[in-house]
Amino acid sequence: MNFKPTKKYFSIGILYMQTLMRTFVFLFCCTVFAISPNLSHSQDADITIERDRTMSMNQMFNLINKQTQYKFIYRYDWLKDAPKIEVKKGVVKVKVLLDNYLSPLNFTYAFTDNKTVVVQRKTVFKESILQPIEVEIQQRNLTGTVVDDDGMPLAGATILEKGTSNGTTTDFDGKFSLQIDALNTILVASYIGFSSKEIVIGDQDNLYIRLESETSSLGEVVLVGYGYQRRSDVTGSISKLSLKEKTPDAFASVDQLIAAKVSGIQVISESGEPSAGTSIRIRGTGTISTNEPLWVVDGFPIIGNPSSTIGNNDIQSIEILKSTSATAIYGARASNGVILVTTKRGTKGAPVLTYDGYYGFQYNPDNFDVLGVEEYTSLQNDLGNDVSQFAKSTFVDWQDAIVNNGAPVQNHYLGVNGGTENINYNVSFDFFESESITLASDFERYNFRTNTDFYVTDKIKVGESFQYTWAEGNRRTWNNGELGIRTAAATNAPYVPVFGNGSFGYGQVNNQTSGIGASATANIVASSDPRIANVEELLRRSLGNLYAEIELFDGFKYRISGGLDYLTRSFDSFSLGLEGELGFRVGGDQTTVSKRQLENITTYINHLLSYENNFGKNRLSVLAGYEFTKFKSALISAVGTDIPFVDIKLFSTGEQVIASDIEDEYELDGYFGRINYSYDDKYLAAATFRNDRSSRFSKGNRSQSFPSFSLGWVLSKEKFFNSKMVDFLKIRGGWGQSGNQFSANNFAFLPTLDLNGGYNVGTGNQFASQALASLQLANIDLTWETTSQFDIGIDTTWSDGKFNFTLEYFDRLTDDLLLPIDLAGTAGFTQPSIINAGEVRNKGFEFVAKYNRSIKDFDFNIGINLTTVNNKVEKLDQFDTPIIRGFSSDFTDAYITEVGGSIGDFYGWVTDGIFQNQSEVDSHAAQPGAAPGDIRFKDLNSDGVIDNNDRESLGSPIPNFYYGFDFTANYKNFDFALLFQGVGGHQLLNGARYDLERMILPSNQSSRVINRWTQSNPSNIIPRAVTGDPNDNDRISDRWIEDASFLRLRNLQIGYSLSEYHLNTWTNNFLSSARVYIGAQNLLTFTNYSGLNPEATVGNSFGNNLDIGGQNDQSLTTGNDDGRTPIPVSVLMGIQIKI
Amino acid sequence: MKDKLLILLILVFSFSCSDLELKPLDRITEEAVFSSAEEFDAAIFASYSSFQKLYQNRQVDPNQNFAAWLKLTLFPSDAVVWGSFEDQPGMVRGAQELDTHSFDASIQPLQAAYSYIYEGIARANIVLSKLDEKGATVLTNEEITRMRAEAKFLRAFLHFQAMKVWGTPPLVTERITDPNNAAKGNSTKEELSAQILSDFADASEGLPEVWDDANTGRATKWAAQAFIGKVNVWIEDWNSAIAAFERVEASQMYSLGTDGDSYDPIFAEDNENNNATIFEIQFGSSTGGNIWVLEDEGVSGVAAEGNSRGYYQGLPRDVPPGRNLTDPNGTVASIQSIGLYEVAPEFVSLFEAGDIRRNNFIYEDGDVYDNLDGVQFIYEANHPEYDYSGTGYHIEKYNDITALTIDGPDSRGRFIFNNERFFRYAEMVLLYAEALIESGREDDGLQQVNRIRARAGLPAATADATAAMRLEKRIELAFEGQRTFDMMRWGIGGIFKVFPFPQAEISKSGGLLKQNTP
Repeated sequence: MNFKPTKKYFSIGILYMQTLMRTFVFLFCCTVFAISPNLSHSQDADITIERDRTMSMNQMFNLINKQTQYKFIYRYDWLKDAPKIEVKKGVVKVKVLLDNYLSPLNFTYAFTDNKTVVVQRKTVFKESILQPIEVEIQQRNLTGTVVDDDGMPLAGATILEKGTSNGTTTDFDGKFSLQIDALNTILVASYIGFSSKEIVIGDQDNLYIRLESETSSLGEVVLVGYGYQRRSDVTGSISKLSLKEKTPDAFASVDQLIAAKVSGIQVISESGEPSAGTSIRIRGTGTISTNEPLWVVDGFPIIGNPSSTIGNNDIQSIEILKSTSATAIYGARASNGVILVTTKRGTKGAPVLTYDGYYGFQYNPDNFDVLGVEEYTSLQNDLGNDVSQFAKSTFVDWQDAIVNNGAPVQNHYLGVNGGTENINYNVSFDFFESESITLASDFERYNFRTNTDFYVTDKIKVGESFQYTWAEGNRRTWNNGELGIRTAAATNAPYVPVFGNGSFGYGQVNNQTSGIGASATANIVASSDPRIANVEELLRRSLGNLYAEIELFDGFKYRISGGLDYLTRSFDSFSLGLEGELGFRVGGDQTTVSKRQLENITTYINHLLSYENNFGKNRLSVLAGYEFTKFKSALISAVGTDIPFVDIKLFSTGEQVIASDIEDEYELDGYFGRINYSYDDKYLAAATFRNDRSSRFSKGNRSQSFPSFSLGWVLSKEKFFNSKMVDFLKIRGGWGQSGNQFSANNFAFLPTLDLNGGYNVGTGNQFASQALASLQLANIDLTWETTSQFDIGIDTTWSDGKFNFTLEYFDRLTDDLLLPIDLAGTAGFTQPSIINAGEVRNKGFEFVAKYNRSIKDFDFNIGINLTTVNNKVEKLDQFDTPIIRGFSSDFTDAYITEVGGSIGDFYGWVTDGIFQNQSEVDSHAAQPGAAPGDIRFKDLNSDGVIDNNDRESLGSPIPNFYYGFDFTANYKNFDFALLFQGVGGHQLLNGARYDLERMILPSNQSSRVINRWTQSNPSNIIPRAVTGDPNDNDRISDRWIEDASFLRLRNLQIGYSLSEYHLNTWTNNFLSSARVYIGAQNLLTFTNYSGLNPEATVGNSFGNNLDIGGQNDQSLTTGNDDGRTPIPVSVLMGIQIKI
Repeated sequence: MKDKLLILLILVFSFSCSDLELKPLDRITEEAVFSSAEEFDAAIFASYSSFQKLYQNRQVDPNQNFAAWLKLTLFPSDAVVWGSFEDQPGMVRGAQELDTHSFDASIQPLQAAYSYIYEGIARANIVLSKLDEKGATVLTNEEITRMRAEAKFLRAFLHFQAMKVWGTPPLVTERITDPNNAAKGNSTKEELSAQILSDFADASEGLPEVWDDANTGRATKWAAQAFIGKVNVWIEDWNSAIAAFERVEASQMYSLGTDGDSYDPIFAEDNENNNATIFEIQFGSSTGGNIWVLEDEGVSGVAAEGNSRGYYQGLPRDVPPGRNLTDPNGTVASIQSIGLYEVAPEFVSLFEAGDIRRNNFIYEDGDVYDNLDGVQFIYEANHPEYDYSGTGYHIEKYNDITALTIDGPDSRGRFIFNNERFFRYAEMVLLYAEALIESGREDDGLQQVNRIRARAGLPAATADATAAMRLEKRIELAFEGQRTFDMMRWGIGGIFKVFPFPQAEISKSGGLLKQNTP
């Protein structure tokens, strides 16, 4: 095993020097540690089990011998008929392995000094032999099945008649048959990694036994990126959401499963639309380019957030790598954290068919409170619009008209899982469909997945994962689909009829129906009619992944994997030319058909060498790898206007056709390594290294190294540590660097010219002559954005595992931000140029506490998690120029990013009540246009004039803290789950309220404006209604910024599982498990925020972002609530069956 | 075993050989262009188009430019008042403040003007540096001479616009490549005007007197000469100004048109680049593709380039039913102009009886506003129901009926495609007059003023040459963007001497650029 470099290596020649250098670290480690192990005689030694397998006792003893050098002494005849043992992949202590196996057989064992273990019969058993009971022993035959938590059969589980050595093991199908003493009434079922269970037999002859896996066990294995590690050995910060903790969810997107469940991560949905994007922040907002974490699905790093294309039921576990010491191995793309998704793989045993499905309804939580007809006409009168002829009309509730209450949502999953000695497989089909609670939007998705592993020989394993996703969604309009639709409905004049004698039976919106021209209002219901306007999004993803793994010799493996991710998204939109008869912007002048098709292709290849071994108390694992990834994307779009036959929705039939396409690509490669070392499970150390190169930077700046180090100390293992209460206590800490190379432009370092538009010289029609201009300064010095993170934490377990908690502190500094800045005008570029400048710091605490307890039949778990984040911009460009941005012509300059503030603070004036009379106006600083009834703005710089210099930061959309609370309980066959989600310390720009209270347009307003200032109603809150708003009362000010802290009852679920008895008697064991449940989501929300959704954000993971590469998350201008579809209240009923 | 391992390692790491040298798929690298006269020309057009953008609505770019040059040059003057249009705040940003001279340095039109002027200068500098670098290998000597002249014309023209606005703006004569060194400090009046005059002189040497039909509208030798005169007026070097103007006069290229004739043809869209103008900002045609698609946002090289003048100076949207002849429901006015500019009554009162320009330059009660599809629409100063205008007057200049015709159903009056008559011959005549008067030749100056008066159907002025020249210039060049600068230069009308630099540019320069004192 000692393969020190010899002359032979060097004789290969210079050609391979580079190769050798790259593997140097690897080789070095092997040579240093491959010395004769210092043996330990502790029964705490760990045994690594490579894969799920069945072993005879002999094989087990051999395995222990191989890994620890223990020899076994036992009487052959005692144990020659001993049942085989089934062990699951993982790491287990010798003691646990032996206890689990020998104890039920009534054997015991003892360690001796000379590396031997003596196996003996238990004395108790001897006693029972000494006192034979002289009765005729009646025998009865029992059969049964043993399954895991999910109803998967457990092959090789041990079944024993309690207090005897009489027992058996289950077969591949988890079935057993056993002759027992008729007087005996208790069986013991056990299986490694599961808690043993005693079963009272009663009258049953056919038993169904469900074993529970040991939760929060420190032996739990955690995916750490390119490999696994025991939970107790982990020195970085990693959260795991396992299958067990997941509850059925009415969301299309799997990232919603994590929301509120784990600390350090915030999942925000853009709206309540089923296809709404989500935005994910791990430990704060670190940059302005993209803050979305890297997703790795079954080892494949994916571009963008794939969660809307993965079936909820396909998930085995989700691991979230938060500390840089954990993420640095992903180098260049890891600075926002990494999310590892593992899908279900086959387990050995007969095929198990699973059906898991629910059906539910979704309800609209709230509407805006708007003016009635008379109040509306009175307001319009104040604004100088005479609509008095409508004053007696009936109120038309436009919001009700746009709401689709009771929108159905359903999810059906069908999967087959099983395996033989040589092949494990999992094949599944998942269907999800949801209508929106807003008219005419929906989403449906079909998912097909196969995961297979082939054990070609003992040493060679080959496998694949493949998924195909087909999803379709209908939205109302083109981009930013449902943008402010609730506001749009609420602001319609309250007497304009929805239906009438216009096209398709809709009410026309014009001077005759509204009295004020149609410019401010529209028949929003008509615009939701797919015959008039529609956007259909189609998403198809083929994601395939192959690997082969070969064990070259003990503990040393080579693995090669490669994959292809082919994602296409198309957006087909149609708009019927109705000449605006249904109001402003409904059905333009001409029928238009447009198509956009975006194609993303990601290919990757990965080589991995790993070595793992124990040398006495030393445990070592080493990993080295190389990865290459290529991303290519193309966007084709075409618009045809003036379509002659509306039934033929082809853009090419248009009178005028405009087509365009874009293509882009980039490449990344990197090599990496990791060493994990632990001594006596007490002292833990890990170091990783990655060097990445990106085609996004010039040759000189192309490569960058990302190191990390972390240490852990398990105090509870120390001799001096003597506590009955504390089972486990670990202090861990680390530091590391990771990178971000996503900027708005893949070639920002290269001087390029764009060919579009031009100048119109020449006589006649004056077509533009093409102009060649560079639009962005090429920054040859551009390089990586680097995130350095320091963190320290404590993991502890108390009272026999009942109480667990983790406390962590993190300090994450991102510098050399890839900052698109507006250069000084003299440079000659109106588009921002990308430079490396600025620093952003996120620091905070994470706290997780879990408590579980069993009281007779009542088991419960309580978990809370809390994360605090302090986001601070510490540096910007060379002059620390604040970045001021807006997002529409109403909200220009609504955000500021400046040193000392956080990323994307709201920016504007500060209100100071309302001028009650002219003398108040006169005595205040000069405020152009002000009159009694107008808002008084503070003269922040005390220069006697209210102008642009009187603006300041008005709050931040980034929360200071977020938390989750969950409670689950089982009582007999009932189970109950409750999940609260809370977010606090953040503000939103309530754009919906802006539209509903600004009193400028002839649109309907919030009922709050009834209380507007008039001579007789000296309001100090709502200003007067006045034509033209000369005082600019509606400017961006703290008037529109609101605290948006909220606490939401996210999930509530009650389930009932059929007992083994009923499964047996009712279904004759045709069903191996069955559970029914009823659940509700988002039933309650506690908040002071006045809008419909305190979570509103701008997200980008699903449809609305057509950026090529999808890497622009608008963190400079987020947190504006324009009144989109709110998060619905959903009620679900579901069934989970296994056959 | 060792051999096996070695082979494996070699296999593994031999995959790591991609050099990651990619080239953009949708853009041209600078390395690959500037290899033909066409490509150099295209880069020159890019410089022209920068200033053109100051007449467009460009909501997508960071400057949110809404016809900034029109706002900057029309509102502060005493001829135009703000039409109080509030519907779309973005579109009117800065208008009211400019009108009342109460703006600060952060208003959007100032930033847009600064950005696009220096964008154009940078583009001209790129052409000049590329001519030095690659010109000799791919171009003929004639081409190099002409292109260098044209790039210098543009650089001088744009610097001069900046000088008119800010007095002593930065001078940029080199291409800027270092993002940490992008800002430049103020120039002095002397070095700025010296550079401008030298660039114009070089331009005049190398530019043709006229262009062929395919290139009409590009800068000519005589445009460069006329600008030399104008710059000299600005720096009050009267003799140099007179000399330059006289060289242009001697070319006999330009005319004021026939006495007594309408002024409409001079401003008609179908009569662009006529001999009454020395230099025009070129705009496209409503028939050239999608008018919503503008340069830098567009998809094709044939995108039409529209001028937003019609949108701003046309009547506000709330016009009576019947105005929109294509809509049987009479719902919305199809011409979606916003009536931002109204004519000040004090300006209207300046017209002497018999001045044919009054009818051609302004709409007043009873005028035919347009006659779309053969139906006349009459402008009413005091319409009983609809409020066209606070002053009772709107701008007619450029608003010629043919220019407003709804060519494409999309246009809705938002864009017109009429060239901006940026430097009219009439202006040069009046600048010539000014130079003559200022250098003591009052009678000669008056004689030039009277050429303009005669063209307008007015009798000759005989006394107070300066007053006559200023009045004539105020009327003749009304709404063309010259008056504000004349007021600033002459110190009349209680106006500021210079505009402030955009506030953001002051902070982006880290103290290098000093703010103007008002």
